[in-house]
Amino acid sequence: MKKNKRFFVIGCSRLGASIASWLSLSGHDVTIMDQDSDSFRKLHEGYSGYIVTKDAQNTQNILDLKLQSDDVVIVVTDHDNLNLMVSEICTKLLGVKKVFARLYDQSKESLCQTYQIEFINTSSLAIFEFEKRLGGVL
Amino acid sequence: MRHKVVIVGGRKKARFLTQSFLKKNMDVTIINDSEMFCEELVHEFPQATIACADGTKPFIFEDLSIESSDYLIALMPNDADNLIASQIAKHQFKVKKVFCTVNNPINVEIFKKLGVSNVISSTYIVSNMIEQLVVLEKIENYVPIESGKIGLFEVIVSSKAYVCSKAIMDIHLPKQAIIACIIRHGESIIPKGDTIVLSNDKCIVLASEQDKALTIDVLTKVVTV
Repeated sequence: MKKNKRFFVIGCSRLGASIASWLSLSGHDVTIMDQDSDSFRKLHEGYSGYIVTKDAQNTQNILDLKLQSDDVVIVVTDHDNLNLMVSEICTKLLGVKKVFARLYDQSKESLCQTYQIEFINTSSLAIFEFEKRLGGVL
Repeated sequence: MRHKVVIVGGRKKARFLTQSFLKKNMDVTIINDSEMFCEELVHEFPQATIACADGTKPFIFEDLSIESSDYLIALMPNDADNLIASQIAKHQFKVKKVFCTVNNPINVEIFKKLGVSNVISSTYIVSNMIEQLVVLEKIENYVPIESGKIGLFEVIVSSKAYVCSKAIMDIHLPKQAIIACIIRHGESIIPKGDTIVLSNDKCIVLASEQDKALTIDVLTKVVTV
């Protein structure tokens, strides 16, 4: 990936903070957004990207990020429905081509197949890993 | 055939709509995540189907056989939840007409672009109505149409008004305005050009944003002797 790509991480959860820290430490242009300023403590001390303390529930805040089509957006708040809404706005309304979203409930994936959103289903990843490791025990 | 309507979330609005739908002989299904509220509803509306569940989960919709219902109304406090419930209903369960309410007025346009055709913001409707009633104190009941491009409002004709006892064709209303209806002694009259406006008539006026103020001026102007 080219170094001048802009990355936007929505939600400073453990996952969001780790991804943002990793991207920033690898020299990328990163912006992370969360409504709770305390949550940014989870970022790595070497994080040098932007921090936006705003609520993603308010769609105006998403529009205010002034996203461009070649930006990469990673939506990892704790709420599936919020993640879906933000990803839909990014792809369908703002034309962002690369959008990743965390989803706990797999059954909602089919809702957005028409949009170009890549879902990371943390629960099915965990199940897969458990099955793999348990297979060694059984 | 009985119409089937599903109400997701909401308290006062859900209750009020349920009462009115049951009166109209419709099949009502209520999905609400508050157990206490659901218990109240079970006693209040024994005819309705009540489910205590998260109304944004596809499997709940499946369990309640919502497929091909006529209407779904999403009234949850969180806009994202309403969007997802509406999309699941529309795309996965082929509900015929979906109404999505939102708190944040800017979501009306955004959700429409995301494929939900009926998005309602009570914040927007109520605040717009209050604003207009405050700004234009001479009118009653203001209803914005098409995001306020057109407005529907009522003006009561005073006996001293310039328009009183004049035929509509002789009142020079602005181009983008019409008197759509006159309420006289509780009866409605659809006025024609030769209809005479009398004192105490309630005129229901449809006017564009630009011509609204001028229309009100014309209808309320007092004859000075």
